Amino acid sequence: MFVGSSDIAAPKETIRWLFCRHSNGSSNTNNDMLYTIIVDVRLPRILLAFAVGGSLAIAGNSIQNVLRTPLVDSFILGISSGAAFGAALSLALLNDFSVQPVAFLFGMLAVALTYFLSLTRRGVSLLSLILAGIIVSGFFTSLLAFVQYVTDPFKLQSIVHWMIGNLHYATWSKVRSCIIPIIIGTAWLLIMRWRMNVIALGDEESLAVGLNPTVERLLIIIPAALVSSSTVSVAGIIPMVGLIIPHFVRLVFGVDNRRNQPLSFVIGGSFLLFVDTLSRSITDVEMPVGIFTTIIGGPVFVYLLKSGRMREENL
Amino acid sequence: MAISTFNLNFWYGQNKVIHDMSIDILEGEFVVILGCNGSGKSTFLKILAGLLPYREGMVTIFHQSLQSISIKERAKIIGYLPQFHNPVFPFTVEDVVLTARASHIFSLPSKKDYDRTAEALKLIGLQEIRKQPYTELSGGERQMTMIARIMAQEPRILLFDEPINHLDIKHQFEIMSLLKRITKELNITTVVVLHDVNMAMRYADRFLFFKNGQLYARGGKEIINTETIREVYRIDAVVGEVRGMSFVIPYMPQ
Repeated sequence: MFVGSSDIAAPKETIRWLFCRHSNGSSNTNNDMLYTIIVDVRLPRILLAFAVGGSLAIAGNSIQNVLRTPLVDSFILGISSGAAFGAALSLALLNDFSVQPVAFLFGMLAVALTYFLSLTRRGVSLLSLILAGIIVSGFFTSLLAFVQYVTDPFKLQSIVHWMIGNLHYATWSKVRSCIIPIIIGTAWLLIMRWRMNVIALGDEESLAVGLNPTVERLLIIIPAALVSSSTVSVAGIIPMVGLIIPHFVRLVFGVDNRRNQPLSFVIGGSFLLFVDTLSRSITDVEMPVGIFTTIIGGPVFVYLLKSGRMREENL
Repeated sequence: MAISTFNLNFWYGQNKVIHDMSIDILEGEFVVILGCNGSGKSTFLKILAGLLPYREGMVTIFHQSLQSISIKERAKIIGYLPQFHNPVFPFTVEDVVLTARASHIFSLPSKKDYDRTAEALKLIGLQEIRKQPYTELSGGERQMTMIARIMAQEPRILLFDEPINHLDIKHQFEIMSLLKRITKELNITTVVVLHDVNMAMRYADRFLFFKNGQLYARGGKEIINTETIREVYRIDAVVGEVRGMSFVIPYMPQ
């Protein structure tokens, strides 16, 4: 809350404002400005960063357990490319206000498509789910390329900006629009957190103890898709958080999802908040946070992959 | 009658793998199914476990049609040990056993579930390694863990598909003795698929020989003779007895 690109709201002033706003009756323009910067610019951004990071991490952990591989995140189901296409479509054809709901809808649509493509008479196999996700992602990516190709350069720029995940334009209305699906989805995923331990063991192993894996998978994929699509609709595609945070949590705390689901959310939220704070204070120009998560997350991931510990325990 | 099948037929696609099976298994019996690879042993066991839906014939579990029992209820009656198990994530032994309670749990396990888990770990003798990651266990310990998991389900019927595969002789005997002990002490009905005829003779009350998806022979130890072995496995054998223990020595036909 104390850092940003404006000198008016430097740390010292912010602290003074926080402690003195009730005792100080006189209002001047500087104070109003301070209020605006802190309450309308920084606060929603902090909340949004935390909610988005937490959502991506908890959804990532859920999908890794459902698909029984630590190498995926919720975007494997086609959410990101579906939402990106939806956003590009509405940026190119409609107005700015429609971007959020359209991106959200296309994200959910992509997951539904992936799921139904992978559906066979004998239920849903993990391999077909992953393959269908890749096909659906590819399909929406080419549609996105088509939209980019035919759209005019000015709009193209806003499409590209949108696709690199960022939290620049965090507002209270964005927080409001995504917070309800995020709360519902997260609560749902928390309720499912022990059952994910069962599902992670295998299909026959679940069926033998009374859980129908096809039903359980759906019960986890739906809320995971819900929270991921919500984050994409307000912040674009923020990569790596959903992949790395669950890894990190598993490495440090073990594999029990009773603990890892809430921890993923808290650590994912804190991580994105930290990275976003860096991205808006490290240079004079604010960098999109999506660039930073990859720059920071990539090497961390490579390190984890190369270090023997993860290979033995988690692969 | 714990398990009863009547005129059971089963196809994998066009391929008929179970032909007109009518088998009765009594409560508290230790039954071993023997037969060649592809004779339908595992398929039969999976059908009993409810993992493969059958369309022709009938299966009843304690006089109730298997198809009318929900997945949740089934898990409270039947404990099934699959042939292969390849876990990805290193859950601890305790956490793996705890998953047995899934049919009793909505969101999080209760004290009763933890108690049952502790009891099962004690019954199988796994308290020492309960905090160890399942993925780091030896083959025998893994099998013990999966058996503990089944016991935590508190089932009345055990269906085990080749439980002593990949184990050394000592562990083979340990697992089989354990199964026998559980069967007798808790009056559980146990059906085991085995390849080792000698091991089967050491422990089973009754034998079922499968051949090409059909029931070839059923009965006590007396049905195991040179002719049965030749018909079922297409191999010759000496059947005898030493110090009160029956044995089979198979050899290639001359």
